[in-house]
Amino acid sequence: MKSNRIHLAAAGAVVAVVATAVAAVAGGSSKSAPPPFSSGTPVPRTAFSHADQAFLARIGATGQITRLGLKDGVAFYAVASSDAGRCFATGMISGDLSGGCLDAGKSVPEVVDMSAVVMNPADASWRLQTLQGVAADGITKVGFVDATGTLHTTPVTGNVYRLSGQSWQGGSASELQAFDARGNLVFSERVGGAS
Amino acid sequence: MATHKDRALRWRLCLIGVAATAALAFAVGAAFGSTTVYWGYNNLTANNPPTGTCPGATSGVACSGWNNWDYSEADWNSGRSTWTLGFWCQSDGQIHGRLFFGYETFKTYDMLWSTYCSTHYNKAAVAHVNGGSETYNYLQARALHFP
Repeated sequence: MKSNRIHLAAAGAVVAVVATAVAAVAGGSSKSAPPPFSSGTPVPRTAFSHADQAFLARIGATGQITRLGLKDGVAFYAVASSDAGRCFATGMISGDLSGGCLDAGKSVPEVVDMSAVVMNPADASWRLQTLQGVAADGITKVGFVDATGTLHTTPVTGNVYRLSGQSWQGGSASELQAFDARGNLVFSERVGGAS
Repeated sequence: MATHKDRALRWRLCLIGVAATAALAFAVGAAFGSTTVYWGYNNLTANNPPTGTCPGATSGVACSGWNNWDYSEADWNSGRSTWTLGFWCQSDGQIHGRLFFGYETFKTYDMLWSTYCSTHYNKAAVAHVNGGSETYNYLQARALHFP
């Protein structure tokens, strides 16, 4: 009898472990609690030009608009999407927006990078010119690892970061990294999608 | 028998109708503009599209023709490789755009021309960014023009 109970308990534990593992694997595409981006101020839709309002509607950014921050005259926005997801856009303080909406069924990443690159179309070599984007609460520094493996960082102010006027060669060693206040690496993404 | 007053009224109504139709056409054009699909839905990889598909470009680069495009747009569907979306600027012959490392799950993403090029007459472009694991992104790329 006691032996049966032990076997049942063991079987239950195995089932629980397997179920957890399956959930973890499947969870790669499931939605978890979004990371907080607590900085920012609401901006009325009417503050934007008709062209920007049309752009926001086109991408599905139909909800409340929050300006997460402003750096070097460039504004970063978070907008609720029509399907309860999150949209992110950037532009000048006066508008001229670019951006898109994340798949509402997927997790919002801790770093939404919007860096600008220049690529030579003849050979696909590329350089990162502006390191910029938004980072969740608790991230104090975001960096780019160039083709030589050198890390270039810039501080996060509020929830935004921006460092322009650069010309860092990109390559297979390139990586996006984010750090907390203690200097711990809390987010990284390699070029090519290999973390 | 139509009187002079009737004819005048009809003429006015006709003019109003023409003006209303023109205004509606203008409003619809301004709202929707035109969209040119130049890639996909298809896999964007290091080898697809092949070299020269976008004239003057190596493989992995797709582009529209030259025009006063307002937005370079991509409708991303799946994949996990690094890529860029933007414009092949006439001013310097380089592709300027936003870098997507591969972890993002943006759906439709629009890039405004003036953020990336100094003049309006450019190509919209999308390109695989080499490095790391050579995977793909399955997407459609479009060039948008608004009157």
